[in-house]
Amino acid sequence: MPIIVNLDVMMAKRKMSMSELSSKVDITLANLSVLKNNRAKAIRFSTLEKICHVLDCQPADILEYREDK
Amino acid sequence: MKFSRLINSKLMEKILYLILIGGGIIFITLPFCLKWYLEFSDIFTTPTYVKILVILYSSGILALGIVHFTIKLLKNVNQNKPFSQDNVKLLKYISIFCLIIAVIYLISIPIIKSVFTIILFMIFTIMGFMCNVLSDLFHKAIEYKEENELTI
Repeated sequence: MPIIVNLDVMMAKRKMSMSELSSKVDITLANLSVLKNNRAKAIRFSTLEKICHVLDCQPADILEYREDK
Repeated sequence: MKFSRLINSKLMEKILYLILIGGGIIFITLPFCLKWYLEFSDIFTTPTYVKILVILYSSGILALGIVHFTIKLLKNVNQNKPFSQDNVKLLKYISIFCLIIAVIYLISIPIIKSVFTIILFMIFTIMGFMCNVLSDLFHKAIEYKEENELTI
């Protein structure tokens, strides 16, 4: 998939666990794991905003575009 | 709204089972039913008994197949799995069976000379195409549902 989600990097930097992040961003642990494992088809801006707020980062820190050949 | 959902669950299954059993009974006793019916109706020039029997049996077994698929479809819906790939396949089968029945009645237009044969042919082609479109509709609906489910 061209859009890669690099949540683990940011989560490690802020020393936050999956369950902590999921409760702070108000999404289920299952959905968070779907997002982290690149199985999500779309993300709402509201969710992205909450993640960036909790992890204190930019969307570019989490989302990456990688062209697949 | 609630009344229509009541019709669509348990009652519908029972009605469909009745149609299946009734159709099966007519199917098995077809030779006797046909003799009895032909004695009554002398409206149109009666073609040979065997030809009518062949037409009725071939379209009959396909029609029973359609009822069987509809029952499977209804079971899926009642188990709260309306948007499954299985339903797409079932609708495609139903449309193919309808179109085959339409071809059977097209061939039998010169055999059973009646305007109703032509009408039956038209009805089954329309139904066949409609079920095909419904199958594509379900396929798209499943796509959208999956995309929506994977929207975080």
